[in-house]
Amino acid sequence: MLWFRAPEKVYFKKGSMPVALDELGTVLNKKKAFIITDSFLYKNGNIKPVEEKLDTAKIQHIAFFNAQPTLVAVREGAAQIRLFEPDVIIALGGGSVIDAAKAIWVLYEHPEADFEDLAKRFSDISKREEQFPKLGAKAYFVAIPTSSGTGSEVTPYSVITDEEKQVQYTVADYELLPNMAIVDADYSMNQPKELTGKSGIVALAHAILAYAGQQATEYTDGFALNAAKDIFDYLPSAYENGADDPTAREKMANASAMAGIAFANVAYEEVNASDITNIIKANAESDKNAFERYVECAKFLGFIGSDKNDTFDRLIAAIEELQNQCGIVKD
Amino acid sequence: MANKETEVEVQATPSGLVDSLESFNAKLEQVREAQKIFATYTQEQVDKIFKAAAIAANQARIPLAKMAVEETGMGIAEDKIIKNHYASEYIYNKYKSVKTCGVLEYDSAFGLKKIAEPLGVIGAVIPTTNPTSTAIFKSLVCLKTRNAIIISPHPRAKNSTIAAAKIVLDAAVAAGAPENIIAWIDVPSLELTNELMRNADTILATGGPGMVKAAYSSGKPALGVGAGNTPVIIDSTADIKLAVNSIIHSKTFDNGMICASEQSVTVLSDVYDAVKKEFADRGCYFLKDDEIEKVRKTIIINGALNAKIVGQKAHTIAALAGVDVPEDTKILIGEVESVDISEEFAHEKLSPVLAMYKAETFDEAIEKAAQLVADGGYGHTSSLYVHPAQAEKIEKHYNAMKTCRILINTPSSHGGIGDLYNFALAPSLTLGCGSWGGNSVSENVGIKHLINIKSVAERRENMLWFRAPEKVYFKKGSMPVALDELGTVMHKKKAFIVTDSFLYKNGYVKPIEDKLDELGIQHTCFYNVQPDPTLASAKEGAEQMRQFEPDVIIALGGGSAMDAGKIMWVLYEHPEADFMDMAMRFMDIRKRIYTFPTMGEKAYFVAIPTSSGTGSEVTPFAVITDEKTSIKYPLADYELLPNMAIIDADNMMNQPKGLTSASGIDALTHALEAYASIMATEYTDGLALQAMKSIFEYLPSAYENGANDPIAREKMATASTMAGMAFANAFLGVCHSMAHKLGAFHHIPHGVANALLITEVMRFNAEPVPPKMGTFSQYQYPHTLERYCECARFLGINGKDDWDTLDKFIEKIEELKEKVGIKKTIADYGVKEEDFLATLDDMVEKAFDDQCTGANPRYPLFSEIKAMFLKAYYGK
Repeated sequence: MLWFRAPEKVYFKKGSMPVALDELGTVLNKKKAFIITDSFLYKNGNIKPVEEKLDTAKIQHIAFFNAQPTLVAVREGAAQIRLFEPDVIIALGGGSVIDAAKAIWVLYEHPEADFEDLAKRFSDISKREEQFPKLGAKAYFVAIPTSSGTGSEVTPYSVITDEEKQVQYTVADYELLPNMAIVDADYSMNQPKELTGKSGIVALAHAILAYAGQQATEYTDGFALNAAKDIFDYLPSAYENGADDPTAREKMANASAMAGIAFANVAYEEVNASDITNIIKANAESDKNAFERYVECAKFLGFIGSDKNDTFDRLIAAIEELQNQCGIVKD
Repeated sequence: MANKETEVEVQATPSGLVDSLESFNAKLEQVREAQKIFATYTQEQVDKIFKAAAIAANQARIPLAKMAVEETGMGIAEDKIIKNHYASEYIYNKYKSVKTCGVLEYDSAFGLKKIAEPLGVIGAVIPTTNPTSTAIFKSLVCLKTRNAIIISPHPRAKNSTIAAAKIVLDAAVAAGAPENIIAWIDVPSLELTNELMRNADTILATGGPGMVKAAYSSGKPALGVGAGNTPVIIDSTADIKLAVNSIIHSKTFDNGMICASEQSVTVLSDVYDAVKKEFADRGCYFLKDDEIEKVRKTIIINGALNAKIVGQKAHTIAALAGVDVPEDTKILIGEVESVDISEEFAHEKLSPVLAMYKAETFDEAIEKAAQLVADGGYGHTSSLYVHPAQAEKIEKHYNAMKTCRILINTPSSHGGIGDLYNFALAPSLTLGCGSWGGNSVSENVGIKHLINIKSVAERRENMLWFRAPEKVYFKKGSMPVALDELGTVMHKKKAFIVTDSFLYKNGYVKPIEDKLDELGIQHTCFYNVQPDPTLASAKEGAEQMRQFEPDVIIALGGGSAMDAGKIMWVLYEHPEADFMDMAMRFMDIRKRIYTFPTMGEKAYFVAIPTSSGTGSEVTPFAVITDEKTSIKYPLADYELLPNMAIIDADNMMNQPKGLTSASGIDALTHALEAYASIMATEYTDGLALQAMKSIFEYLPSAYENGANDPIAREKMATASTMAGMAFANAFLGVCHSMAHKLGAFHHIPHGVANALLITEVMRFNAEPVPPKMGTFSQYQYPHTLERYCECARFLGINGKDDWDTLDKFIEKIEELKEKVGIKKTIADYGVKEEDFLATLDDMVEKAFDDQCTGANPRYPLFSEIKAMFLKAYYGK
């Protein structure tokens, strides 16, 4: 059996944040919101519109702005959230912030949870022998991405590092899916250039890997292919022009979410912006099926060679060119 | 900094005074030119001028007050000093930091900017009762808002009024304002006042009803005031000392000339004597019987207020009436009974003369007060003295009073003008009386009434969404695995299965029942679902549900069973729900009038399709027929999304050929219409394209080979669900609208109806110059031809240009239709020509009004829908 799973509500469009957040008051009757973000975004006033909207909706709120995907920071957030006792969590930030927020959510709903243990038992989304602790009894979870991106706003993954032990925990379960994702390009409009480039390539990696993944299905294929296409078409301009090309920003925001939706339904794979082509080549070599899929993907994107190998090479070349355009040094 | 030395050719007035039509019009020209310049000033420049003017007015408060009393012979200088002080200091304080120029606010998320501009030239009519303070007030608020003001003084107070205006003007000009920004009529006359009112951009009128009426008849917008006849009620629970002394303080302020001042006091009988004693102890004189009559005849003459008593002290008025009272008497009080207008004491008296009434009950007091308000103070002010915790009485009072200011435990002169005894009430000397007083403003007039606000709206797109059931499970053989969760994860206890009799009798329910038995979940089955499920059968099922009380519903079947299941679910969870409300047509699903009730509080909903298909397992839609009227009600709300969808091709293996073909084309139409829809997004496009691809590749074999090609069956199952997910979010179009009516009127199966219409609709939609485009912000320009070509190219169809590609695409669709046994025309399905034509107009109108039409990229005219129906009927 396979599945297709996405957050209950995925809302999008430039300017949609206040419209979506309105539901917290009018539909969901929430009273207390715990905002999770990082200090950079906080100090730059990025959460101000969220706070203003909550004020209008008469929802009490507080902000935790030291969100990092580390065990220490997550525990700090958990301690604060337990004092405040919110009925809704709003994570506003990049993948790190949203991942940290998901971990805080787990600790809020289940103070006894242990990440090492959870990571051991729940790291492969396709193998479920037991049940992940249920989330949502205490708080509704809203994710607002500010980078395009890891797609964490639509995935069941949370990657937390124990800096002391130098270990990374990957927790994967659909309980971690945010209830609501708000993909509003106003929040990714001012991503710094470097972040734009790196995040864009990460999103591309998610899309392509999801297409070739063993659990890829027609349900996810459409999302993966369209995401990849939009990233090739719009990342260069988003990188060069940033807020001066709001269309490119919006396309990248949606592409990142779509790549995330695809990626959320296949097995998790660690990627970073500089080694994506190595991963793809390695996958293609060890798995014939994956190779065929990469070729299909290349054809859809318009990279057509004289035969399958040539087509595959053109795909790799295209990715490398995109990396160059975005200032990413290949490993 | 604007250039205040602009050369302007204007006929200068010979004597420099405004005393005739010619000199008025000359002045008006100068004022207009000044205002045009002033309108360009920045907030900084304006605030500097505002401050300087307020300071100057404040500094001149004493001489101006003395001048006003001397000239008019009314009022008390020491009180007029307070009024001038208030008009300058309080007005400055209230508005000093308020933005009145340029961008007032900008909402960047919604793209709305508000910009302030002045009204222009304000015509201000100043009363004789508050000449200098009103002149100061109106001039200051005009300066703050970059308006010019021309003052029409009352003849009795013209010198002091003009003096006040001049002081403000000189200070403003010295601080940088253009000359002539404040002007006045030197020799007031009715003719000139009317001329001013006719020419001003807005009139700020202060005066009695006659003057207010003239202002509103002038043809220019007016912010007027009305007469006040403030009734006070002293309740049994009132603090008597506070009440009486507040009233005395207020009523004697400037000898009672503030329009908000108390005109009568109604006292509850149980405290009447105590109140009377306090009034008397504090220097008020209670008129005796014959004295009351004398005073009556003095204060009101021929039904109108005697000008001679206005603003005079109590002793003077008594003397006029031939009544002897102590020199230092504060107020003359007449104990009267009638609140009818025939009683002189029931009128507005603008002097320290007060009517006093007795009431046995609070309700009686309110009745009296209401009548007094109607007598001549509609919309103005009323007052109540009561214990602050008496919430019920206070509510009764404010519900009954038709006045725009209702003051609790407050002297009404000082209270009504604001910011003295309540600091949220805006300070003002122009008090709006709403429609009751014939005004366009019902609050204290301030700067917000003196600006035009321009709204700059940038194009924004409606928020859209991607929504699917929480869990979509699929794969051949997945059903038992998925159903397992009902026990192991969700701990459900009782399952209610909904299906149709064919499926039931052919054993399709058995595997489900077996699994439920294994999990220890009690179950029952309703299998009386008809194709085109009816309200009656849904009600029947819901009734059974209510008795069984399931915590999970499993709908197994085609669209009919799943839709019936959804409706039963609604009726089960919300028996009170009204179908007419739920089925109400909406323009925007997020703005619809009706709020769908929350689902899932009683039961979890699992949808298991057996055809490929309607996609109902992943959509928020359900169509139900009211069998009594044959009207179909489409319900649409995301609350109807199943919680879990199980797409197991094992349930679809044995679909009969006709069903395979009709359902398959239905799914194709879903994908095509979702792709062309004005609400299509990148999120739905991918699903739609993948669905189309699979349908073209696998439907023919699924049709021909059925269960012998299980891969084709599974591909079709997936395609149907993906198409469902696409249109669940992007909605459909006019093809479905028309198919719905074709089905309803002529009983053509839904999938076939769509098949007969889709290519006609595609050509219709592809027109790049349509008479009407769909209305939706993200739909920027007609481009459906390009959209269809994107589909075609994805499917490997390429023509020499877009039109050729569309032709080839349509050809492929027709080819597919033929392969799966779809006939060519509506006529071919046995619909008689006369029957078709007889129903045509009705079908056209109903198709137009179908909920699906709204998302069509080309907004159809009736004639266009008719043409498409006819083409599909005849085949040409």
